[in-house]
Amino acid sequence: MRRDGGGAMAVSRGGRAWPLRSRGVGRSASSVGDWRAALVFLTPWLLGMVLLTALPMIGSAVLSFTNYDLLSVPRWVGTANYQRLLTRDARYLHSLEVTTVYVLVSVPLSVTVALIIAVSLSATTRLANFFRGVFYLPSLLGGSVAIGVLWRQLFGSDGLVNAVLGVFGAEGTSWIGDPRYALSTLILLHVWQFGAPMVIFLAGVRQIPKEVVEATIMDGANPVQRFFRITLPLLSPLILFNLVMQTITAFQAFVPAYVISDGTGGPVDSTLFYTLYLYLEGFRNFRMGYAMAMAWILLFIIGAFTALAFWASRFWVHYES
Amino acid sequence: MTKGPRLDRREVIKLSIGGAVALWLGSNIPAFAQSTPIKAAWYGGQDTHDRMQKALALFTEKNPDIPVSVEFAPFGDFYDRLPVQYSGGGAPDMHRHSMTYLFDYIERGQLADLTPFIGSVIDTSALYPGVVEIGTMGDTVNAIGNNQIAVGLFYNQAKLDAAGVTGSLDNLTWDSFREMAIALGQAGGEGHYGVNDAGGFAGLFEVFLTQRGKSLYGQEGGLGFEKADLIDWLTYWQALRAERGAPPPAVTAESAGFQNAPMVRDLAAMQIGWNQQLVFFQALMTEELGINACPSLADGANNGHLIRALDFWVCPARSANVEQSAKLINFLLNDEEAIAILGLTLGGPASDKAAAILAETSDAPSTKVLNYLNDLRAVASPETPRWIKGHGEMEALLGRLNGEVGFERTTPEAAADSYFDEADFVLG
Repeated sequence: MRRDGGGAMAVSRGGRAWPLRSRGVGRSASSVGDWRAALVFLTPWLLGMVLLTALPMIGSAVLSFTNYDLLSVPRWVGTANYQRLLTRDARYLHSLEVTTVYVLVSVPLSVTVALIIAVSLSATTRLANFFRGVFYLPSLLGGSVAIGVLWRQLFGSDGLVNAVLGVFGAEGTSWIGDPRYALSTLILLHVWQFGAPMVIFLAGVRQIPKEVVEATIMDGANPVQRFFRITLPLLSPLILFNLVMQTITAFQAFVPAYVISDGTGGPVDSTLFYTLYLYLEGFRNFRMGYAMAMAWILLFIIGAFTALAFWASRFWVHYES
Repeated sequence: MTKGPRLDRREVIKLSIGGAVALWLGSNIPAFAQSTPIKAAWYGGQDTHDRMQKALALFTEKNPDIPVSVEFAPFGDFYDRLPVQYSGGGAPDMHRHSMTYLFDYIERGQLADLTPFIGSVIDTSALYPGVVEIGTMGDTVNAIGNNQIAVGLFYNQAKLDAAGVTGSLDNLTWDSFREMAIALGQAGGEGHYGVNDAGGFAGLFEVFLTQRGKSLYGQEGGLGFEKADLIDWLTYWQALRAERGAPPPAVTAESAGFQNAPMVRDLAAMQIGWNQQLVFFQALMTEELGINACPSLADGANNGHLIRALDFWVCPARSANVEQSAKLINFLLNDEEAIAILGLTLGGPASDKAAAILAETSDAPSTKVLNYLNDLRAVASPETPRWIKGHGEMEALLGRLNGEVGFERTTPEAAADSYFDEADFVLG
């Protein structure tokens, strides 16, 4: 990076590294050249951003106000899709309820499990290294179709879970065939994939200054006190990060419900995730405009949850600075 | 190693452009050109995939100027992909299409007009009445049936004999069927049932309605029956579940796919489905299976069974290879070797000619299906009603509501209200 008098990347008084020169100062030939060079280097990213993200999003927003069915020319219907979604589509509201329960139960559980395991495995022994690898594995596999199929086999009426229960004399049930339990199996699958937040927590635990920990030990704090008074507050920014990321992921969950319910959201819509209903409406029932309206509402819901998490963070997140 | 001549940047660019032009020219000069393959696609199980590929290999052998590439998937996956392919202009040149979704595509103008090829390229003269007509809107042939299918009741002969109910199969009524199913469930002991829960099976519900002089859909669109019919239907299956004539809904929820069917899992003695499925079930079971007509009304005046094409060959309107695809359709419908290779994997035969070929080449389970269809023709309804645009969604809704009644989340009356409300929205 050039920081010489050529003015390419000088840090401004305000602490910003960009723009290279403020407009009032005037532009030299080399500054224009730098702009061009920067644009050339940014072009691939800009093209990707415009063609793969911005344009499809604009298209999707426009089509959400049409009756687009994938096969015919879309016709403008105004806000009819949004009106039906919010006032007359009981199945949509049910999918929102199922997804909200899934998010509110599975996210705190997975973050808690990840935190507990990370703290437990913070030691740098060989055994801890081994278990860190083992515990991370489900995160690599968790969203895959294969794991969805495996989950079906585990929790089916003839599955391994019931076989184990049978050994202890307990009577099993159809965990994925009974609407009282089907969602629970999906929550369990999400919690099982705690590896990614665990790795982040592990990095955070390592960053806790040793002198702080040693000081609390000198002061006579026991491990539980150290966890709640030192570890937890210092990890709170990472807890916030994991909560937000996990919430976004959970709202977008699709594959497990699709595989376990054979693409129906059953039994009797007990696993009808928001994204699954969106998919069924768009691709099975030829209501793509309607599905796009659902996608935009989901974006706002996720945005609202994220904003809420950041707003609430002022009460419990502690930044070292 | 000696150094060769070094190429500068301009020479590399020249060579690249020259090479690309040469390749392009080569591919467009007849002597060098390879014919662009037509893409054929279908849905089904492994047996269908194997037989279709064998039949297409024979087609390519007999028509070396028309190479064929293939694409196949299970039913659900196939229809996950198809709308996107049509939307993006990349649909297969010729593919199998179920009547479940056929009119969603026909009414949106997505299918090619095959009328110019009828007679000249596709010989439909031997096909049973209705096989072409179902896929014809006005004067335009958009789809040609590749089978004739009826619903059937499959049964495990040994279990029926053991329970002493085999005689009930003669002149089966809805009442005697209920008694038979309950008796079989009780004979099997705890965790065993008479028949799969077919309350969500639109094919059988259609038979039930036809017996009452009604139909799934009206001539002018919309539903062709009353709420009371649906209430009777859902109540019938509710009663059957209550006495182990049919499995509880949690078992049914795990029954997708042939291998998970209650009869295959030894949970039920009987199974209701489309006639050709006997062959698929028999392949998964050691006990001998039989096939019988489904129940009918007590007076026996109206059998209600329909024999008609349910799966079709179609070409997308945007395909550039409709004529070659039409040749392939003709081959699959009329070539004697192809008919023998395909057997019953696509359904019952679509013509007397196909029936005669299959009668000579079929194994025992296939012969049972052929005999069943032959016997049924004498009493089946001559009508070949269509499933209209939106049928796929309505069929899924019937299954869901039957499940909700089963899980006691709703009553048959409330379920019927929901069905009719939703029909107003879906069918317009």
